[in-house]
Amino acid sequence: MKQHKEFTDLYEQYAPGILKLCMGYTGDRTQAEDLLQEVFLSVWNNMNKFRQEASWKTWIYRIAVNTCLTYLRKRKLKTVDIDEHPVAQLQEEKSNREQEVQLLYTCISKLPEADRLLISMVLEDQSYEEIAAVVDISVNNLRVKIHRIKKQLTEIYNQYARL
Amino acid sequence: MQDFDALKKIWQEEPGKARQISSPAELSSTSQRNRRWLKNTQLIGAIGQIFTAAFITWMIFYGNFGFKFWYTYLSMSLVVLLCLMQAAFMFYTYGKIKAIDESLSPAEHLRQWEEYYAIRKKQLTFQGPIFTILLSVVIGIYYIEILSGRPFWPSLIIVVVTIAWILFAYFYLGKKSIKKETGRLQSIIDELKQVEEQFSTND
Repeated sequence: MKQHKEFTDLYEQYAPGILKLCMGYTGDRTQAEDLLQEVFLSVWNNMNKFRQEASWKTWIYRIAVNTCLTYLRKRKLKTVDIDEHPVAQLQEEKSNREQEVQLLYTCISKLPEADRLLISMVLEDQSYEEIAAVVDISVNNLRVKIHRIKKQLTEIYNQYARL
Repeated sequence: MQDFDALKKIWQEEPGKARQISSPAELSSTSQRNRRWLKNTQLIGAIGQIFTAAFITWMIFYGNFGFKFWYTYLSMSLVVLLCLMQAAFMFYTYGKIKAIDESLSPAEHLRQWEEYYAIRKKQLTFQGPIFTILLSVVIGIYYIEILSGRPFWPSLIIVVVTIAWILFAYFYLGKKSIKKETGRLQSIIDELKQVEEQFSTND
């Protein structure tokens, strides 16, 4: 019962952020929701293995990153093609803000797999130390990578926002 | 023209509405079911092979077949050996899938999957020839039993047709499907390596 309570608390706290990470990774809401469930099923199944060597946040994000990366192998990702959903069409369907958010997710999903996950955590305002702990790379290496990905994502976004 | 901080603002204004749950039982995932299926297929398959081996062993001793030659029983024992070998392979693969840990670092986690696919690939290329050779020996011995004392020409035709079928199945059908499957597994291994490199290489 205590574990149930702990799990639902963790879900409540981290599910919104993980969902956005999955949205950035897939660019598709349905797949992101399936991934979110998969992540938290793994969290539930492995809770007894948590050794407090890292924080819950690092541990859950690590599971999320791994789940996203292997999800790609299980089903070829059907990433949303921006050209199939031009901004003009989205404008008719969604509010301005929703439209910007969807475009951002779609642009992130155009990046290489690892970069999508790294930049999603940066956008979520996680510190470099936290991200480095999740993906197990040095902070210096991460800093250089993030610098490149930020530039790349901004370019993609501006390119498609002009369409 | 948006800069990165503007993109961050867009991201952070989105609340990320996740479905509310009150218990883990409300979660379900097709991918988790797939992995469980992958694991259980190996386990159930291995248990099935052991049962088959036990049944054939029972038949050797209590089947009252009345075979003329002792080596016909040897061929049945070879089938038992084949079943046990297959069961061992399946238990090994099951163990590998079970050991995959999502809470390891991404590079290590990807390496675990890579290892699993490499095992599958090795099994395909290694098991094929061994099983073909052993099965051919088994069929050959069995034919000695059933064809002994029969007219020469019909017996020869049966033997030639059987050999032709084994060669066709191994060199054409088998090679073709192994090539296709190993190609698929190799492309998965390559993809995994590629993602692993995205994490491990310095920019």
